[in-house]
Formats: sequence, C-alpha cells, structure tokens
Amino acid sequence: MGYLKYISRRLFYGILVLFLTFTGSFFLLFIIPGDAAGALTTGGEGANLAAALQEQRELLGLDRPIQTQYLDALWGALHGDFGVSFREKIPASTVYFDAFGNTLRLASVGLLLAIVVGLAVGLLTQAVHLAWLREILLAVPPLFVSLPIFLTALLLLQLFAFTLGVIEPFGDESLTGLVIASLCIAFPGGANIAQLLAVNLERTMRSPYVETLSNWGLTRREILYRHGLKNAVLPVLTSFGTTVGNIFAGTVITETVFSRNGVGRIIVDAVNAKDIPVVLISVTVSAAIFVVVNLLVDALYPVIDKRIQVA
Amino acid sequence: MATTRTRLVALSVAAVVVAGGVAGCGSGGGEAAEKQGKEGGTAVIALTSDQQGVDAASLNDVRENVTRQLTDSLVYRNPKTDEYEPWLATKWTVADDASQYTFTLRDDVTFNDGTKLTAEVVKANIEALQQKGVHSTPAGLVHGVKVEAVDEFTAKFVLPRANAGFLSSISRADVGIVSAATAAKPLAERQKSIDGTGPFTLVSWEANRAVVLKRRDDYNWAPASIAHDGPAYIEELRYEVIPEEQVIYESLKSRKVDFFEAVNPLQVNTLKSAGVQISDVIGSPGLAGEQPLNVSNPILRDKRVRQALQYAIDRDAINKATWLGKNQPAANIFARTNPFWTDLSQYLGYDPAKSVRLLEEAGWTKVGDDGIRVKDGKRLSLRAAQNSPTTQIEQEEWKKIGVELVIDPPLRAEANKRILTGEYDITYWEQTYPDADILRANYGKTSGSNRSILDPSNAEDAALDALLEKQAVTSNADERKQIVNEAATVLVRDAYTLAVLERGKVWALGKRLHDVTPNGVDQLFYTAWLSS
Repeated sequence: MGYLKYISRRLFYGILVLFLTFTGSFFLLFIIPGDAAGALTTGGEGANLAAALQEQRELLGLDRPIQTQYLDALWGALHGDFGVSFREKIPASTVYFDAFGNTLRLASVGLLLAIVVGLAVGLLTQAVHLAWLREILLAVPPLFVSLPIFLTALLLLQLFAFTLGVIEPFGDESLTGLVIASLCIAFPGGANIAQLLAVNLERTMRSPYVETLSNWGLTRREILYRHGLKNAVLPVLTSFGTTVGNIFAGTVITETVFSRNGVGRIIVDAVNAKDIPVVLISVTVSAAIFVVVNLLVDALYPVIDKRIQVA
Repeated sequence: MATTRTRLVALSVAAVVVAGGVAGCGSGGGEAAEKQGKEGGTAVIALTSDQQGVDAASLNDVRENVTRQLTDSLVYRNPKTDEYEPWLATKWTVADDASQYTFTLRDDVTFNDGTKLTAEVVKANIEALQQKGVHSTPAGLVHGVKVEAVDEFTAKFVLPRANAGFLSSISRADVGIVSAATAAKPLAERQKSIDGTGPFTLVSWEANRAVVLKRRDDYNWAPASIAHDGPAYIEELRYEVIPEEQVIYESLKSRKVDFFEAVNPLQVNTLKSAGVQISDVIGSPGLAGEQPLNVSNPILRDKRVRQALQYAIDRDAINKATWLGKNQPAANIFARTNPFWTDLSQYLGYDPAKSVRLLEEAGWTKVGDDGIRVKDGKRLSLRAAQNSPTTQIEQEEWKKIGVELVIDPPLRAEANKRILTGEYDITYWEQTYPDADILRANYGKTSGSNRSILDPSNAEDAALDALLEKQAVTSNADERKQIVNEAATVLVRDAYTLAVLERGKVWALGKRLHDVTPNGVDQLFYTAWLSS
C-alpha cells in the first residue's frame, strides 16, 4: 500500500512539473522581447514594414490579450493540439515528431554506449590489479566529462567523414553515421557514470562490512560483484535523470555539426523565431521525458535497495 | 537585413562584381564545345539553414536560390547592360506617366503542371500576392497594382501611382510567375510547394534536410541574352542544409558540396589553395552597405555630428578586416552595380581631424574624463543595432574623436520593431533591387520605411522626402536620374546614412561545377554544368 501511495505522490509532482514547465515557457517567451511577427517580417524590403508587422500579428493571433492566448494554448495542449507552427505553417506536432524519431535514436544509442562503457570503466577501476592501468582508468573519465561536444563532434567528423570517408559529412542516416554521431554525447555521459561508479565502488570496498565478508572467506571479486556493485550503483541511478537530460541537451550541438534533422535544432530555431506552438510542444515533451525517467528511477529505488522506506 | 547573424555580417560589408568575371562563370567560345556531352549529373548546393519552404511569397531567403530556379519573370534584367529584356513577356509598353505597363506574353509557355501561361494566370498571380500574410517584400512590390487581362496573352498592369522602376520590381524572383493552381492555394500550402515555368521543378522538400529540384526537359523560353537555350544541363539540384559553416568548407574541399552562396571572405584563401573556385565579389545591385542614422535623436539632428561620424570611418581598415581588402569602399549610397550610381566619394573620405573640427563647431568642445565628449551635461553616446566587424571598428575609430558607440543588438524577432520606432541611433538595412525607388522605400517618410526617422517639420528632412517622392512619379529618365542623384547626394553629404563598403557575396564553386550565372545576387543554375 505504501508503495502505491509513494508512486502516486511522485506522479502528482510529475504532473505539476509539466504544468509549470508549460506555463513558465509560455510566459518566458513573452518576457523575451520581440515576437513571431517580427521574425517573420525579417528581411522585408517593402516600404511599409510597420503595416506588415501588424498584419502578421493579427494573422498569428498575437494581438489578443496574453491571458486569452495562454488559456487557448493550454486548452489545446490538454487535448494534444499545440496549434500550427508560426513559421512552418504545418501543425507544430508534425514539425516536432518528424524530427523526434531522429533525436530519440541518437540519444538512445548515445545513452546505451554511455551506460555500457561507463559501467565497464567504473567496474574495471576496482577489478584490475595493475596499478598503472587503474590510474589511467581513474584519470580518463574526469577528462572526458569536460570534453566540449562541439569540439568532439568536429574532430569525429573530420576523422570519419573527411579523412577515412566512412560516413557522409552531412545528413548521413546510416547506422555507422548514427553511432559515430552518438559518440559525441556518449563520451561525457559515459565518463560521468564511470566517475560516479568508481568513486562509490572505492568507498564501498573500503567499508567495514567488506572486511567482514572478506574474513568470511569471500574473494574480492565475489564481494565486488555481489555486494559492492549493488551499493555503489545507487548514486549512479540517482543521477540517471540528469544524465538523460544532458544527453538530450547534447543532441542540439551534435545534430548541428552532423547536419542531422532533430528536435535539438528545431527547438533552437523555434526559440529564435518565437514560434510559440513549436517551443511549447518541444518543452512539454522534453519535460515529460524527464518526468518519466525520474519517475522510473524513483520507482526502482525501493526495489533495488530494500532498506529504503517508501511510506 | 538578412536572416542569420553570419549572413548579416557578410552582407553588411559589401562589394562589386566585375562584369562577367565570376570565377568559373565566364562563357568563352571554347567552352561551348567542351560542354558537349556534359549534360546531366547532380549538383549539391549547401544552405546554412532550413528555408522552411520554397515560395518567395512568404519566405525571404529563398528568392536568390531555390525559387529563382523554379519560376521565371515577365522580364529579365540583363546584369551586364542594366536593360530589361523579354522573358515570359515578348514585349511591353509603358504609359507616358509610368502608371500603366502592358505586357504581351509568350504563347508557348507552360507551367510544370501542364497548364498554359495566360494573362488570366498573371492576374491571379498578382492578386494572390495581395492577400494578407504575404511577405512584405513581394507585397510591397505589387501593392495596389491591378491587372487586367486584355486578351489571352495581353496583361495590363495599372499601378496605384506612377512607378518608373516597376520593370525592376517585376523582374524579381519574389514575384516570379506561378501556375493558376499554385496562385489559388492558401499561402501555408504554397510555402512548401509551387509550380512555376522555370527550368527546374520541385521534387521534394524535407525540413532541416534537403530540397531537391529536377530539370524540366521541355523548358525552352530562356531570355535571349543568356547564352543557352533548351533545357538546363544539370539533371538534379540538391540543396542540403548544413548548419555548421566549417563543415561546408571541408565538404567543398573534398568535393561533397559543389556550391555555397555565402563564403566568409576570410576563408577565401584557404579554399582557393584547396582547389575550390571562388567568384569575384557578387555585388548586390541595390544599395551599398548602409547604416541609417536616426536624426530624431537630438544629438544626430545636427548634421555636423553626423558628418563627423562619417569622416571617422576607416573604410580601408574595415575592408581589410572583413574582406582581406578584396572589397571596395562605398562611393555612394547606391551600389556601383546600380544604374543610378554616381561617384560621391568626395563626401566619403577618412579625415578624423575634420571630424573633431565638426564636433567642436557643433558645440561638443568639452571632453570628459572617460574621453567622451560632453555638452550641457550630456555625453556623446550613441547606440548601434548591429554587432559586426564594421560596428566594432567604428566603435574604436569614433572613440578616438570622443564619441561612444554602444553596441547593443536587438534579438532578431524584435529588430524590426525596435529599429522602426527609433530606439537605435545607428541601424542597418539591405535593399537588393537595382532601381532608385529603393531610396524612397528605405528613407521616405511619406511612403517609405523612414529609416532615418525624418521629421516632416524640419525643412531639410521635408525637402529630402519630397525628392524621394518626386523621383517615383517622374517618367522622363534623364529628369528622374537628376532628381535621384540630388536625393542620394543629400543622403550621403548630410550623412542621413553612412555608406561603408559595397555589399556583396562571394560564391564558392567546387572543382567540377561551372557557369553558375549571377544576376544581382540571384543564382541561375540554368547555365551551369558539371565536368566529370
């Protein structure tokens, strides 16, 4: 019963976060100066720009009171209708979800690589016996955490597209292209996981209970895999939501450098153009992903560690 | 004004095309033979941003590239002679007062959807561009114009006011002719797909990815002065969206991209050494790189202050910093490629000592502790709406004469509004069409965008505005030229606007692409071909 109550409370917070994200971004767009009419008339050479601005404002409904615009947008969103993109003139959901699959693939592969490599490196720091190798394994993650994605992306593209010719320099949709692009976000993500795991394994393996287990006759390896990992992985899990968030954020630059269509690029363009419907669907879906991931993490806690009370 | 920041920078500086001198674009006699058997192929063209569609009626950035391949115009502006030549119209007459233009259309032109070009279609085109939501550029070009289909192939344009520059307007891709079905579509639909009479047709448009055009095999109505007839050589044009410019340059070097329209001049030498063909500077035929000054600011109301700014611009330094010295300093507010250009360089010299004299004459004699001049407790501080190498150099130069320039660019989405309301002292703009009427569109108070925020109660401002209005209704060419020159002289001499460098672009052509024809800044791929 306690578990169900725990989950419902988390769910309520999740919905609250979604509502606040939607509302916050809507009003933020109004606080930032300028509007979509201004963006749409950019570059106009006509003699009567002031009239052109007013005409666009009326066509887009931007001349209505802000509360009317907000309630309309909210009502629509509750029905899954985010309206028509101001600049693309097609439904915002089409603009977004046409690109979403690409980003999801990129982020998933990046995340998978980050988890696999991150966990492996983290574990190896305790599993290897060679001191110099251990030093290297401990030294590499902090370096990779701070790798600027833009630089990694350009270097990877230079190597794989222009030097080796393994992928096309732009718009490569092959699996190889996907994996290489995803490396940009996998590096910092994986390094983060490795770093957290290594530190916590180190601490766990020094705790008194490990000594006790050792005295009972268990080998270091048995202790590491059966007991140490289980305890050390919890902080990694806690930060998993942030890792996912960072990986999605990293897709923006990766998509730009690799000329891949994706929501990262769409959201940047939409914010620049004040394309409210596209911005709203983008932040709402992103927030929903974040909420769901955190909800899953919260749901997993008590399952992994029975000591955690959920009442 | 352009869309992206990088383009703004590229466009705010400027240049001139040396007639016919575009690298790889010459058309020597020997090449005709060489072209034999060189038909077909796919040219890959890089774009830095998603264009959101293909229709210049609602989008600003497609006219020079994608739309120009899809649609033709009634008349063709020959960039070498500045004359207007037959294209979809075989001939035309202009009423004495330049308020009526009657075009006789070719009777053998078809749209991509198979329908025929008639006067009714032309009428529907202009009416479609007068609906709400059309981008201000095409809307402004045909504002108030009524078209009468006199017979099947005769279309009479009745203008709301005399407009001696109307042939220039109608020659632009912004008002390129589309089929009746396209004209009837809601704007939102035509944004993504249009049927024209152009040498290429649209195959697909994919957001943030690519626009693909295919050659039209039955195309046979190119302007006579273009040294090619029949269908285009190249089979397919692929416009690829590549947002990171460095990737475009690398792709040009490794022959993955064949064409890029806006090379950063600072990249030119590196590209050349890798075998990429670089065009001469393709001059925009409108105005030179201009910075309107806001005369509604009491400080700038005094023309001596404006002139002081003018004489403290080191154009050579700006040319070196932004173009490696390959561009030319402006010598008029008009670009050198504009038929109305005259040499006004006498007002555009670099003479900081004169600037100081002018400022002191204007009463700005005291210099504060921070090196900025003060008068009646007010600092000589101005705000610029653009952050570019040009404004940065001006900031340094003007500081030397005691003027502070605060660079505080607005967001793109608010730029128009804030500039139009006179919030900035030094702004920027762009006009690309080769006629004098752009001066009115830009600076006119009565019927223009009033870039310098003229005050009708000020005698000098009113006189300038009157000149700008008068040129538009003067049909006698010589008389008009004289009025225009008078207006341009006032704008330049009295520094209502600062003309800096010529405005232009540099094209890059990969090793295998040849003969892309520039018309103004429009790219005509009709004449282009690929070597093996």
